[in-house]
Amino acid sequence: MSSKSLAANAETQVRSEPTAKKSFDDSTLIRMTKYTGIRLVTMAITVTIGVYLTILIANMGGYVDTIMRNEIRDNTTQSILANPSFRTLSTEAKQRLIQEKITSEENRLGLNQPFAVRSLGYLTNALTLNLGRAMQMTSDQGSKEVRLILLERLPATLLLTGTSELFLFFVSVFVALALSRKYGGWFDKFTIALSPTSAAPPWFYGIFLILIFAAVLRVLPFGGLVDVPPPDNKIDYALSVLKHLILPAASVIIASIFLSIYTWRTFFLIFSSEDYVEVAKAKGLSPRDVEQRYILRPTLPTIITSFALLAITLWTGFTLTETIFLWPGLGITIYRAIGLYDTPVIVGSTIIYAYLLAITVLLLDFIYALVDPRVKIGGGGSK
Amino acid sequence: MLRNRFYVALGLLAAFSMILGACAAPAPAPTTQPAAQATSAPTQPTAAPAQPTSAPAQPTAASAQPTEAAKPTEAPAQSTRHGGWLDEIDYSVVDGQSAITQIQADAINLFSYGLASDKLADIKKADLCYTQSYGTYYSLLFNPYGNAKHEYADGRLNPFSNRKIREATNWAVDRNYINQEIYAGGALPKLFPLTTQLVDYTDLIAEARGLEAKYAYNLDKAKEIVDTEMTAMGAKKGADGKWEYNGKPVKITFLIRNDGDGTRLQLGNYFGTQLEAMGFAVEHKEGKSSDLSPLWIGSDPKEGQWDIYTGGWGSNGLNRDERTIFREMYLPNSPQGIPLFTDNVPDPEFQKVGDDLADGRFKTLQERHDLMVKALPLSVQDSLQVWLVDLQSYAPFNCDLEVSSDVGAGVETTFMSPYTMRFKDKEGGQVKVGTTATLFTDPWNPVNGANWVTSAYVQNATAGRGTMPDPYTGLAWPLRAEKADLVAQTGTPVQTNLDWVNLSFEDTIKVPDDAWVDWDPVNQKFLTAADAAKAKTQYDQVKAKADELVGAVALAKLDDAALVKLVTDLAAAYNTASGATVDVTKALTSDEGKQAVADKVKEIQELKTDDEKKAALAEFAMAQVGAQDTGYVFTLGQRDVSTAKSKAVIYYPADMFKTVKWHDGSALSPADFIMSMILTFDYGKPGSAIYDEDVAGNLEAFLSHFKGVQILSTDPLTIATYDDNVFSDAELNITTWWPNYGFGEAPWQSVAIGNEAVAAKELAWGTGQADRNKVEWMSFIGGPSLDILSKHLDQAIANKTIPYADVMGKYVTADEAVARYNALKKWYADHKHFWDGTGPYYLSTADLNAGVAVSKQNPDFVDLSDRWSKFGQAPLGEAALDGPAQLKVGEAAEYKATFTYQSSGDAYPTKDIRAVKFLLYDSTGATVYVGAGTPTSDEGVFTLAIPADVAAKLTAGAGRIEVAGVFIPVAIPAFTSQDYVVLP
Repeated sequence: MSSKSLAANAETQVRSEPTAKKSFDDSTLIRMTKYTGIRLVTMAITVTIGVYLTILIANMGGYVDTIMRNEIRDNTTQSILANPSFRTLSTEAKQRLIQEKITSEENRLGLNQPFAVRSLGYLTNALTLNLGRAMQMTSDQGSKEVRLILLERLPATLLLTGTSELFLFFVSVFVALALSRKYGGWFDKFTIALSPTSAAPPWFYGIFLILIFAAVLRVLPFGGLVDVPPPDNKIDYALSVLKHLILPAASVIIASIFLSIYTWRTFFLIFSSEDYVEVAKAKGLSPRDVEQRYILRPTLPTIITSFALLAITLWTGFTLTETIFLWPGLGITIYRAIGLYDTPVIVGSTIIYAYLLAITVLLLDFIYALVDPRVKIGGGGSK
Repeated sequence: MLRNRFYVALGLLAAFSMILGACAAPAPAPTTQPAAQATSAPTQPTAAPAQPTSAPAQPTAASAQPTEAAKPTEAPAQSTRHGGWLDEIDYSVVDGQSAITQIQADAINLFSYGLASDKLADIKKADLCYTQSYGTYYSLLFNPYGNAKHEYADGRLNPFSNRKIREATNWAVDRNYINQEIYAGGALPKLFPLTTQLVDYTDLIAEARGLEAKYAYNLDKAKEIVDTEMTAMGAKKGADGKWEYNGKPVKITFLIRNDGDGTRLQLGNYFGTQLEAMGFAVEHKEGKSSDLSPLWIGSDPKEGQWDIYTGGWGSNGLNRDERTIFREMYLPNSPQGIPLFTDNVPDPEFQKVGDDLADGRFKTLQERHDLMVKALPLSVQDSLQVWLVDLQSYAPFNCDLEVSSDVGAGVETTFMSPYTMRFKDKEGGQVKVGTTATLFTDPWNPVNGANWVTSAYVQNATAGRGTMPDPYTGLAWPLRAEKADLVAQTGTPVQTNLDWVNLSFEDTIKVPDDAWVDWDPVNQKFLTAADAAKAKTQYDQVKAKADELVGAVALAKLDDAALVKLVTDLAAAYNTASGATVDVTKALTSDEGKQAVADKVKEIQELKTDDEKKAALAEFAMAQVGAQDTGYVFTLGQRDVSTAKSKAVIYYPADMFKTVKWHDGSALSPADFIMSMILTFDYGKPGSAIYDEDVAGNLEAFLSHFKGVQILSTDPLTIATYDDNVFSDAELNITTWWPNYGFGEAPWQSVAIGNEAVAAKELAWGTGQADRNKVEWMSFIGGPSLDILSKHLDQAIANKTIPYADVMGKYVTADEAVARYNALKKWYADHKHFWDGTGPYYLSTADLNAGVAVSKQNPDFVDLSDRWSKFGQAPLGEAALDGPAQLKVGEAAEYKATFTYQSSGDAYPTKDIRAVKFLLYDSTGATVYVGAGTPTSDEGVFTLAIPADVAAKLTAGAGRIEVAGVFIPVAIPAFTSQDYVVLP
């Protein structure tokens, strides 16, 4: 997160170089329209390429067809041979049944069509946001619509990712800002000292939290979304969900909080030592004014970028953390889709992320111009 | 400054400790010391011991205690409670890795899915009770291809195309070592494809144990045979001691699965080491199923892309008849139908024995037994697959609980489990069951919904049945049924085990004219045996006409036009004779039809004799006309349903339709059974509004042996079923026609509204049907299906719909139908789902996103809770031996074998012991005598007599006696053994 934001900031700095004098006929509207058009076209091309690459990779360039054919044969054969209803069938009847089932399953999965044709179909559907039907998966509610499979997991995903990531973001930024003011203090050093704790992933802390709070102290649940049996009352149900949220969210937060604070604190420190900040301090401005006018404002594009990119990553979930805590989120769903080679679900989640990313990047260009007077839309393009 | 350093050091320490923590290997599960003979670690093959192991393998601790049930308790007083013992069962998804900890923490009471063999030690350490059942079994599967010189197509040598080398690998595998080291003693060493220690194995126990002794681990013997055979095939050992063929190393490509439980990787590494010890260079190719299946399934064996694969096969319940396994697992005509099987060249005798068994070519059970005795050694000599272990699955639970489990496949497949699960010291209470994430993986509907055992486990608690499967023997007890008669054709090998089935024999079993034999999906009526006889006559006439028309065809001038004319003429003749309106023109003039005609003409022209050509022409013409016929002459006419090999009559109690109620309050009725019969056919019939091509094959397979069904009476309900498939246990031949549709129980009205939704192409019963129609796969418990089903329910109420009115109208009136629909509507309003049953529990709520299902006790259930109490835990036995430690050559001796219940230590009644056999082994582990025990009391005591003439054949030195008791109430035998010294 932090590295992305710093990189984006660097990009912003480059693009916010003073531009050449504009020509008299270069009106703002034309310039913005032209810029927007070019950005949209390039993003459309990028998204198309990105999604098609995803399709190719998810299908190993078509080799997945071979894998699936063999898996279908193996699974079908074993299920027929193990089924007590078919035990007394003649060998010929079993073979005929197995072959019929294999053919039927191959047809159902579209393996009777060349992969190249299917891949273009996947691409077209994805770009038009026609997410279609899953090949293998169903939603918890029993639907095969990719849209429903993804949407169904969205609330739990956003609850976990939103709670933990937003908490992380705001706490990190505000604590980091405070630390940058008290550089060298004991809390600053304490944070720096603990920043290596982020070397361990959230699931690592998750296991410890489960052991401590569920197995030993027995005050919080091992996992899941809600108590068993689920409370009938909606308020109790919501409270139960929040209780189940504590450990997974805590594991995500613990795994990142110190490093995140450290990163932001370093970032703010760089700006805090700029000459114009020193001048402002020398002029006798209050620390609050210095912070708001001379530190926060020039760093705003970076903070916004970080926040925007964070907002769209909320969509992807935390695969391992969800697995450890049996949290019914999108991370597990997408991971399972990859394991099952369920291309429509993989592509569905990818295209949504791709569109969100493209739109966010485009919007950020405009937002930079709004919050930072040094930035001009399309300013660099007319050189 | 000092503080800075301190913080830096603190930070580094924290990071370092976490990295170390993450990298640390998990604490090893406590393992039993490997068998003394298995002194060579698999990574040190050169240090392998030369001496053979003493054999056969002693049953492991696990096998001696298949169900470590809780300690015996006082028999509870007679209960007056109806339905389930528990007030509530809460099922939720739990991570198997934490299951033991969760039970200890009282978060759950039972983990029903079961844990792998290597978790047994952890379960014991946690002092939990557990059930034990069979699971997956593993093998080494060889590529058998080889030309006359045992070479692949490119000239490389395939050692494993030589049966003797494959057989020799049995001596190179130390199954005891594998069991102890990889599975912590929680699995069963396996030499045969038969499930170790289950029904067929115990029937062959003397032969099986003898062979296990013969093939006990002996790497030197394996090396010796490999050396001889490799040399004979033209291979030589190079300077490095490795085999070479035509100057190149013989490299074995070993496909090793690294997914699943991960133990196949260890098995592969172990056997790879043994291969290297035998002089082979081994290339390990590790991968998951999807990586390796294109090679072992998808490639042509003659290309030699692989030599060995770590095979894994699934067990599915307690199978009492494994006679087809030899064909399935070895022979080229295996139904598996993949090249590696078709390329195997078995011993002709093995082929014949395997075929005789699979095709049922035996007239008595003794003949069957004799064939199995022959098949066992032949299978090891073939060894297309070398079997390694039968894995066991352990379902842990708190010891204050009583849980019954199918010894063949575990708690979740045990239909009886919800009927018997209870707290030992009380009635009622709430049990929390943890299971896997497959609980709601697929939608639940009774006709073609979720097929996961976890889903079925929850569903079983809500369901009733005609018969109750015995979890310990695989037989069937009457649940709702009262009794049954089975009439088998004389000479059919079948026996009765339980007294609720009367078995008799008749020379000919005629199917009555009014028996229902098939279904007409267009006119929605059953077809009778009389219809079938008429259809057969018509079919024979059409066939004769086809032969006549073919006779007029000039074979030498056969072309497309002539073939089209033949088909058209036959269709016209058929129409004239039967009044049908078959039109073949469209089919024959379509692009596909033209191509089919052209292909057939070409194919026929290539046939050698005129008779072959005529037969092919007639067959094609009949097929073309039959494909366009919407009637049943061409389908039913080809079946002979006039007689059957068995007639099973099931009798239900007279008050059943008054006492058995659906959870929605409706009384069970004959219409529920009729709907079950109709769906058996209609769903797989082209022309039906609900036709699903995915189940057409299932129906075709069913019709290949089904001969008819007849409702003999509806008060009390009595149904006769005629069939050509006859299981050797009479109890398993009783068809109940209970309204369980294969994927759940349901009242007819639920199926009716589902059918309406399918016919309207708004929902589908099955996943394939859903994909083809681009609709949702029907769920009775959630999702978009509920609104659609609800809509059709309202329509059915408004229209007073009687589904399949011509048939069902005789069993239900319009008012009764509306009452049924209203009951279901109220059920849906109360519970927000359509899952309805007659079982001891009902589905109260299903939170699909959270993965939680709640079942509550059904107080209206007809039976008392204690009806199945005696099945609360497996009646496993234990054996003890008492006798001399020294024998003298030529001097008779006696041992005493005593059998007791494992759980209580009480004597096992002699009447419940089917057989006691004992074996004497010499110092090399070879069997020297097999004898039978003689009962000496009613309390499980047997005398094992060694006659003087047998003792005369003993040689001085160490020896061992092993006794095996085979029980009637449970399929798992009890073993024990004792060492002795033979004095000269």
